[in-house]
Amino acid sequence: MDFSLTEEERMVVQMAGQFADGELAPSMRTHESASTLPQEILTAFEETGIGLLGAPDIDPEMPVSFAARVQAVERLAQADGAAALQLWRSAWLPPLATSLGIDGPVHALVLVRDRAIMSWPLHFLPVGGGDRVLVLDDAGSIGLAHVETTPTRALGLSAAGPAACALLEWSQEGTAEAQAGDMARATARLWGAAILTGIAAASLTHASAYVQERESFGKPLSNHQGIAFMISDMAMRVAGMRIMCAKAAWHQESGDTCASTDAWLECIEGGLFVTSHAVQLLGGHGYTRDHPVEKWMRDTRALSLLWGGVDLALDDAARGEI
Amino acid sequence: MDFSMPKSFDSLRQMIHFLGRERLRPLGLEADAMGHALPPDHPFFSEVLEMGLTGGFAGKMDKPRADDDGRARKTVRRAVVMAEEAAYWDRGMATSLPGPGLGGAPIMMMGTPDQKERFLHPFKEKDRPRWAGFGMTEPSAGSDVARIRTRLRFEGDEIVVNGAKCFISNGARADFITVWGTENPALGRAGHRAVIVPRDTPGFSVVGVEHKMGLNASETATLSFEECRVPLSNLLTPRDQTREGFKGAMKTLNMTRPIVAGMAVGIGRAAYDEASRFAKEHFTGPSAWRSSRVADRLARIRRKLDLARMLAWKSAWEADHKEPNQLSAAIAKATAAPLALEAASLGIEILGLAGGASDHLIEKLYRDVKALDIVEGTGQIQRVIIARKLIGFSDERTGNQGESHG
Repeated sequence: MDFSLTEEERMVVQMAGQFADGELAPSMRTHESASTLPQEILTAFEETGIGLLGAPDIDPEMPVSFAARVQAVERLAQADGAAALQLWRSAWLPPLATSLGIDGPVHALVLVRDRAIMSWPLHFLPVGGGDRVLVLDDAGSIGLAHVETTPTRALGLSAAGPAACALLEWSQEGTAEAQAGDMARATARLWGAAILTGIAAASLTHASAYVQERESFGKPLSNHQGIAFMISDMAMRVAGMRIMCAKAAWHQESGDTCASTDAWLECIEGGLFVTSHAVQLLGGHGYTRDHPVEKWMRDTRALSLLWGGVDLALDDAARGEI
Repeated sequence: MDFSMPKSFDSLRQMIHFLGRERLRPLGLEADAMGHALPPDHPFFSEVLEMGLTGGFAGKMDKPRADDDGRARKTVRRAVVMAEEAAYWDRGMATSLPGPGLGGAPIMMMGTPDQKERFLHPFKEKDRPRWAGFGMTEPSAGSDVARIRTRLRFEGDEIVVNGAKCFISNGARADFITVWGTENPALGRAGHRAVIVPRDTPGFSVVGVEHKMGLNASETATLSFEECRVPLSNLLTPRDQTREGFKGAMKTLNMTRPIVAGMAVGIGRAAYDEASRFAKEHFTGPSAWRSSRVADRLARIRRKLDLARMLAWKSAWEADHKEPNQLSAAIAKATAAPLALEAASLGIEILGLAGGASDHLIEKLYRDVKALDIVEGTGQIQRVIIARKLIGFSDERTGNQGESHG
């Protein structure tokens, strides 16, 4: 029972924080409008070395724990969750695909119940300009789909390049080993959970600052108990999201994927609560693009649709309950 | 990071598991059926005394908090884990275990060596079971502790206590009550002091014992203090240290709130287990139509209890490392208690009509668990504490900075 990070782990998180605040946060709206992250950002991210941390097998010289990596991802997402997703895809998806026996570039991971009966096209998938979609189903059937993409306007995650994807052909197909399949599912959900936590934490911070500045009825909003309790409820959710991510990361360190689906489900539920409350606390201002909270609310709902969304995760979580 | 349960907790946890299954749960059900706590001379209390278990599992707090090798002790973490296990079997019985408990905690934290010797040392004796009471809440001052009216009058080398306290656990059987009073209500929190009032002090009386919705195995007393004279050496916080008294109370609660959160998780886990067992037995064959919906809800509540447990552990870890844990303690307690209620409520829902009858444990759990969102600071007070920390919440009308307790 120990909740501390080592000095080395703290440095990794700090490094992610510097990159997030320096490169991602200031250009959040620009990246959203462009529907992509510029190559310089991806290159700069690569240079930090943070991206390598997703693959313990690839870089044994940087044995940084899952717990620290998850916090690093959260830190990136505090600046821009959509950008964090794009960075995840560029840095962490390739080794994941390799672990499943898939070669070459991969631009998105899709989890389904049964690959044989999945429906095409996929109307909304952040692919960042790519066209190779890795599909993994519950039975471990795996396929790399070569897709035709049509960039699309979407609810959120614009910086990650959302597109409609029509299946052209399966270029590689096979069966993933059960352990590798589990690990891929869990890793996607854990990283997603960390991104959701970062977005929620940023929303809480933004709303907290706003309610202390804005006055109504002769006092700061923060001194109205109805407002203050909303902040408290949001803080409780963020604390819960964070601890579930940390716990899942710790389990995953030893190859145990049991807690990642729970973390993902908790972070979806908590994220939707926190981000919509943040918009609510800012009132009309929160509804406009002058503040980031409306984007974070959209990004959260959009992100929670990926990797099979809530229902596939619930199916995994509830297996064995009865 | 390490989310595993320390191996060193195993033996004590197994002992509580055994005690809980064999004694706490059956006796808790018995007390519930009777509608009141077991009498102090019930043989069970001497039994646990022989086993070396103490109420609140706070018995080790008076030792230094760092081991010789400089590592933080696991006092609060151990207490959280054991509280969960004991509450799993019966939270009312767990609270009624003899020992210094919450009433002794302020002495452990703020007491002089002499006070520890006089008031805590006797708990090590095994001649008879002993209890202590924590007297803060008053009939007209619950969450709003700044309003406590119990008066402390200083006369020479004596303190004269006048007032009333209510909802005091083990209050009618306690050897002493740690009473929170004020020298002068006009001073607000700066006037708050804690003083130890032994039960044999003339003027001390038990006004009554509450009849409650649940937790019937735990005695909840209303106490009266009329011109109770105690020596000045029973004062826990020096007169000249303004606000130390109030801070002392808050420190105590920062340490005990994760423990209450652990208790909530324990009750919630008991409810989950009952519901899960029922579902596995009944939702098969022609009743299988319910199973997927029920499985979803069970999975959700299992996840939520896990979350609450981790928040309690984390706050306890901070307390053990002497890191500020006021925020995490409030978050843990405010999160755990409602989730545990949700677990009990879901359990009843899954059992259906069977869950409504008093011969099933789940019905009792539903009544028991509600108290945990009220004791040691209501959910609302926890939210006040959180908001004060995060956004400087203050209610200008009363000047209440939200340091309230419970």
